[in-house]
Amino acid sequence: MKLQHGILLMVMLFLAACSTPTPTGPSITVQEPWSRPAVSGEMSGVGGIFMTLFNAGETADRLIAARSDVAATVELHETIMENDVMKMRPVPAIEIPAGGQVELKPGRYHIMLIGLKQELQPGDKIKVTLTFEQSGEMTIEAEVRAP
Amino acid sequence: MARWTRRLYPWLLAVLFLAACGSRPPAFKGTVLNPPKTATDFTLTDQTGQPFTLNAQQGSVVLLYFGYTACPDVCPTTLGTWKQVAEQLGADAARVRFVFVTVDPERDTVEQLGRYLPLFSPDFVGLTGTPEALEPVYQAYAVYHQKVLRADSALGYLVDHTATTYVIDPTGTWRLLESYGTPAEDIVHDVQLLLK
Repeated sequence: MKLQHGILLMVMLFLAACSTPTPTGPSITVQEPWSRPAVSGEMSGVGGIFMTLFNAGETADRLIAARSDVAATVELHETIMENDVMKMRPVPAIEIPAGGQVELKPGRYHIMLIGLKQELQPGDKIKVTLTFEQSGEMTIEAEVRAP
Repeated sequence: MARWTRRLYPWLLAVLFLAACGSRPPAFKGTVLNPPKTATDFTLTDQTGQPFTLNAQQGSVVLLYFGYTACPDVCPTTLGTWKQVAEQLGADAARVRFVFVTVDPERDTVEQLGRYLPLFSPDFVGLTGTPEALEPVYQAYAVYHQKVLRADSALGYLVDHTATTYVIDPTGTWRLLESYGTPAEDIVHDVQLLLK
């Protein structure tokens, strides 16, 4: 009896050790990046890029920067609605939770293009390079959709 | 008749009565101003550089929105909704004025509005003016607008603002408020009621 218990305990410990591997790193995918038509201009030309970021990994990651050849500056912005008043604020990072997703959509987050060097027309594809804290850089193509 | 059925009747009646109340559609989808107010008149400059006077629009429904062109999120969403409203209204759209008033006259010049509005529709009106001309308009419609300086943005400043659409009927009476995110179908419904 005692020996059997001992063996059982060892098997259980072994199985437990197997089922708790070290967590995998973040695994980011981007779904449906899109943008709105916009006018060009050093100050007046601005645009917003929207998408859903998925993280299939077991560690959270953060989008910390973005850049694009079409704009002088690219920032991460958040929109806050309070009593039908709109507030837009730059944010230092957007977190993508482990095994979760974050939507960059109107009324929530967007990637803000400032100082557009070209007009954004429906059908255009804009290349944007995203920088993640853990996962490094990823270049995506956002399609300009008609309003 | 079985006794249990008879006992059920008052309940059945009550349920039918409540269902009848619930199924009566409210006249308007938007928030009704009660009592309605005479829409305060104003004259500002449109995107072609011509004066635009609110009272001259009587006979049409006016949708009034306050925003700025450097806003890439809420403002284009509303203008995109308006585009759908115009499409769904069909011929009736000719009796509706879609009016976008800037809360950022510093950046939203006549020229800037002239480039921006056609992204959505050649028929939309964009209005700007001096701060002195715009301020009484903001006050008349209780438009919250606050310039927020941000050193961490290349824009330098952002503008917090009310994102509501104001609805004025063909007699020049301010009747409704449509909050941000109101679907095009609901606005079409309300506009059609006002055009009757």
